[in-house]
Amino acid sequence: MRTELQQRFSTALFEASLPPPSEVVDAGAVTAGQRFNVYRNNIHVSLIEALAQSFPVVQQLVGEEFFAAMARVFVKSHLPESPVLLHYGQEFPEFIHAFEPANSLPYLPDVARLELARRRAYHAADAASLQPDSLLDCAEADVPRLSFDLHPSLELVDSQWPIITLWEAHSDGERTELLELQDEGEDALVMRPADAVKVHRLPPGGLVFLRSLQAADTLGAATALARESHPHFDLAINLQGLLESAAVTGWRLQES
Amino acid sequence: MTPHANPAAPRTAPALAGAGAGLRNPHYRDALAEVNEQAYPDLCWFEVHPENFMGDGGPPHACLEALREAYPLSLHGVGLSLGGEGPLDRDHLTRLRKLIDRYQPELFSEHLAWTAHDGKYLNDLLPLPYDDAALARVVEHVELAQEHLARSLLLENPATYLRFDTSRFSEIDFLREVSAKTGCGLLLDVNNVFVSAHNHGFDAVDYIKQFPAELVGEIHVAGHAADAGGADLLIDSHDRLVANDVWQLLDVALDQIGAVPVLVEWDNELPAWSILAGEVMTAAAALGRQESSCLANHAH
Repeated sequence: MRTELQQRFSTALFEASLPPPSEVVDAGAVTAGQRFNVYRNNIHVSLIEALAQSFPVVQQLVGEEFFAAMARVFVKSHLPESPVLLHYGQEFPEFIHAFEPANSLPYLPDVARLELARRRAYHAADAASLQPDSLLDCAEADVPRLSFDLHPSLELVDSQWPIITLWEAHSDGERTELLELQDEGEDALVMRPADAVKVHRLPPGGLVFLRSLQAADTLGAATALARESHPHFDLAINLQGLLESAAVTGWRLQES
Repeated sequence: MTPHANPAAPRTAPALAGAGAGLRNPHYRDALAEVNEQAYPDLCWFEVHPENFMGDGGPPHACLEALREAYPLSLHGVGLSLGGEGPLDRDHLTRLRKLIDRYQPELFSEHLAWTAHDGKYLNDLLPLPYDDAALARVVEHVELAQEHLARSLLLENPATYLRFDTSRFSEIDFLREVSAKTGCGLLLDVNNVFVSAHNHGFDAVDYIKQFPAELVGEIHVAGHAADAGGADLLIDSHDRLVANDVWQLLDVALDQIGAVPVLVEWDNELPAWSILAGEVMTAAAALGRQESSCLANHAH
């Protein structure tokens, strides 16, 4: 039995050397191949555009032409598995990491991870954040036993590159001069408290601290972990930053 | 208590009629401003792609919630793959049902096309041979979708760039058959007619005149482009102003069908909001020649 039409059609869409299915007719001055090429082109251009919209800073950093070429290779091996394209491209950072022509920009995969985190935060569930002063009710002796409910849009992105500085320099849509990458790595807290996604730089130890809180550890346990990895971890600054970023939606006391 | 209307009660959105705008993410703020300012009073309703509202929360839902309170709403799906050889995507049907339950749109429409194969989503409206097998499949899928969504849908005529030598029906007969067997209505995309007529060498006015007017629940217009690859083809690009020829074809369609809701679509190379709103005003003027307005349905 002959393979179903849509199987042959979709195979040929991604193999430029294949002719269109034999049922497609030449008509007028336009050949079946030229007609079929419109669909080939539509699919590639629309998916590359979907990636460009989700990774505008990666596109800024490499230029439109390079981005389109890289995205075209990605599209071929990573077709969407859902019509909900607002989640498309989760594997793009790892793909960039393994994409040899992009090796000269070693920070590029992490910038892509930051852009993915921003997109996830944009579409995450809504939740009301606590006011920064709402912990005043908590008795001082109980503070180590506090654990937090964190906002559904909270995302953490760690990097050995100054990804926030890079992102800020390129997120205004203008191409700016490539920065001297002499700064230390930056870890980001990404949050969408209301209608706008915000990116915050984490202080030293902040990443370990927040990952621990995310895992529902108490404030005492999270602080201990952060101090282990960063002896100068400053609890007051980290806690204040967490509350001011609107990342806390609730708190409770755990049994000691 | 005097029987005054409670000003805090949610406004009941008027029925969907008149000219509407296809809304995309970059215009959310403009659309929300329109709720308060009504700078374009002849803009009567909004249409969105449900696939863009399948995240959990954030600005897309906040925008749609606010619009929904003030305007009639249409959901225009692109991802259901009603013409697909494989089974319908149940997860997608479930997501659609959830959105429909939440936003209660006046209209839900989809395309006579396939967009997915073997678990991969191809992000384009791909063409079908108009044969018995395709007809049986589309009928089965439309029935299943209508059952799952608990409402009838409007099926849109596609813009196509190729034809299959296995087709046995004309496109219009195919659509008519699907409608007869499923009870679905039709969405007449006038720009698609213009584009397909050019690409396949048929007469666009004839097509409109043969189209079953009694089944049409909505009309679309949009911009199209010449093929960048140099072939003598028109592309349904939705990236520019509606062509004069298409506005003229809209007049033919409205004469034929009467005043049904008309939507302006613009998906790529989005212009300033005022440009898109201007196109909607042009569509409203075309409807005005049919003595229609936002409140047409209230006049009866």
